[in-house]
Amino acid sequence: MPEIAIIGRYWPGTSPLHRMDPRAKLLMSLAVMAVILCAQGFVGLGVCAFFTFGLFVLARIPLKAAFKSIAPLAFIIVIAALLNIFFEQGGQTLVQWGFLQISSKGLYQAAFSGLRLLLLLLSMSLLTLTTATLDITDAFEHLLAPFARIGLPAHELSMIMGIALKFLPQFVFEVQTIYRAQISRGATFAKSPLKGGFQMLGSLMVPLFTSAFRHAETLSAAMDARCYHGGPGRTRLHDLRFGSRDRNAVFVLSGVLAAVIAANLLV
Amino acid sequence: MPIVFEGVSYSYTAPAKPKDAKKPRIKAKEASIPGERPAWGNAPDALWAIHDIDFTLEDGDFLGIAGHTGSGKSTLIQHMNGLIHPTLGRVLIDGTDIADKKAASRIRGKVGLVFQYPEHQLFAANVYDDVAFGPRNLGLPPDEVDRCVRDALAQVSLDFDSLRTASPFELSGGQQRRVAFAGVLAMRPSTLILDEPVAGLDPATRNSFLNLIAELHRQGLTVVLVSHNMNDLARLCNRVLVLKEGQQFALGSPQEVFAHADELKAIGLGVPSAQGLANRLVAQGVPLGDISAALSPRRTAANPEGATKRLYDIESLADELAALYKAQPAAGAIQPEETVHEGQAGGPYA
Repeated sequence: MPEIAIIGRYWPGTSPLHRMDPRAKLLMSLAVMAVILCAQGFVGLGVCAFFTFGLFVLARIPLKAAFKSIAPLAFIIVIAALLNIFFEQGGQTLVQWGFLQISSKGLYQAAFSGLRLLLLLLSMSLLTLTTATLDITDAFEHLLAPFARIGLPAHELSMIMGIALKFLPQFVFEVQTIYRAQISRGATFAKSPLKGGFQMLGSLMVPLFTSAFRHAETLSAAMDARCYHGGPGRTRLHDLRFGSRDRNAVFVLSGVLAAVIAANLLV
Repeated sequence: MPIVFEGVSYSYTAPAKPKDAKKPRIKAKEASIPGERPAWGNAPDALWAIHDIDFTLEDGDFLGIAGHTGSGKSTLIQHMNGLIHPTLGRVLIDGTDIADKKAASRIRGKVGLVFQYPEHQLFAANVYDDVAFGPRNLGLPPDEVDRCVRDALAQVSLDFDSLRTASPFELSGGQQRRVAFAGVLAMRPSTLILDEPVAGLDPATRNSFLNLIAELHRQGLTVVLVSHNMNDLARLCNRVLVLKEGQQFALGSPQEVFAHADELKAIGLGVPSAQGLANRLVAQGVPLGDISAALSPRRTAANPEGATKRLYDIESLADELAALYKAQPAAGAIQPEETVHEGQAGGPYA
């Protein structure tokens, strides 16, 4: 089984980006996405691209790793680009082949939306690349806290999310082991689901589910043993604090937004 | 059906793909590109999970594999039925390179691999279907499958009639492991590879499992046993392979391998407990294994490493101590009574 790539797996580091407050990072990454969506032309996108790649340099994450982390989603970019090529018509017709035709406007749109999607994915992956999962769930909990007043179980939601994310690598590992064990017993997973492949799939999924239940029981016992009750009044070892880094990030991002708007208006 | 390892190395950073099997393999230099780290195993930046493994598993062998956690034991045994393919070198079974996918799937019925905690891989609604999974995958006709399942369950001493419709998840842990074990035996392998088969079992179940494995070996199966328990390895195996950080550290008979107590200790392994006691007795000046030395204890002092010439189990050590005691009941220098006390010390009922 090929190793399952995990999108935006945490890339440990000590860059300013890594040390930003996770709440700020979560909000800023949403803001960055909004800025990228604001761009209406290649110049605007160019500004965004410059900014995004700058962030990767700042975070000291090699571009190769960045692209690798979004590789599983590359098909979305390709599909979006293809749809644009064939369904966006206008301008000069470049290729005519049966009912398919490729126009200059289609090509332009394909390149534009492809690039925009690429930048969106890269900037999204930057959040998870520079933030440990536990910090993300903490930030998530803090940002949801105001809604707790109207009955939203913010803490529980983020705890569920955190546990699910934490166990992902464990389950990937276990699926690999189960897969190998069943292969050793002559299983073939290339079969079509209709020709006995369901049993093959069952031989993977049933052990995976039983192991998930086993882990859940052990984990709940372990949390119980540590007097976890999840209720209010729970304190933390590392309190989240906004700092000058986060303020600077707001300034930089405002600058980029201004530049993008200027590019939209002027070009 | 001998399994031959020829200079086998495996790297997580540059695993060989089956389709490259016909092309010349990656050169060692190219494979050393720094890249992703392995998710488990050796030191995080170690390039080779196993490196330059060279040995032959002969028919009828009972090979023990020992090594520290992360020394490459699991990686090594997965080469034996083609689950992973060597980055360098090759694995030959019956003279055929199993880097080829077809060859690998052909030998899977012949080389049965039992993973750690095999009961975690049970999945079917009843015991019969789970055990029959392997034989069915081999494409055997139903009556043949039925015979395989009956035989396999009998081999692991489970009752076919009372268990065939039971859900495997309702059984006790020990019985679950037996069912999982039967699931591999039902494919009628000629070689059985066991990764820590008795981990987490209670002492009684553990013993009956080890006896079962010894019995299967007596019936003619070639067995590979991965274990941390040196007592089991010394008792059961005719050859022991010790791995250290993915490299072949020692290979030989238990006598040869366990003669190097200090070196084994240095890589985090021990020697069988009877042998350990014998070594300490020798280091204390008890002239074990050398009747002539019994007359002049000074000669053993020239052997400070504490290695004995033979491998002791509990019986042979007890016999030898008894013989020594009879030979020199009055000799003050030896004091075998004290050694007997030492052997019992520490127990709460002493």
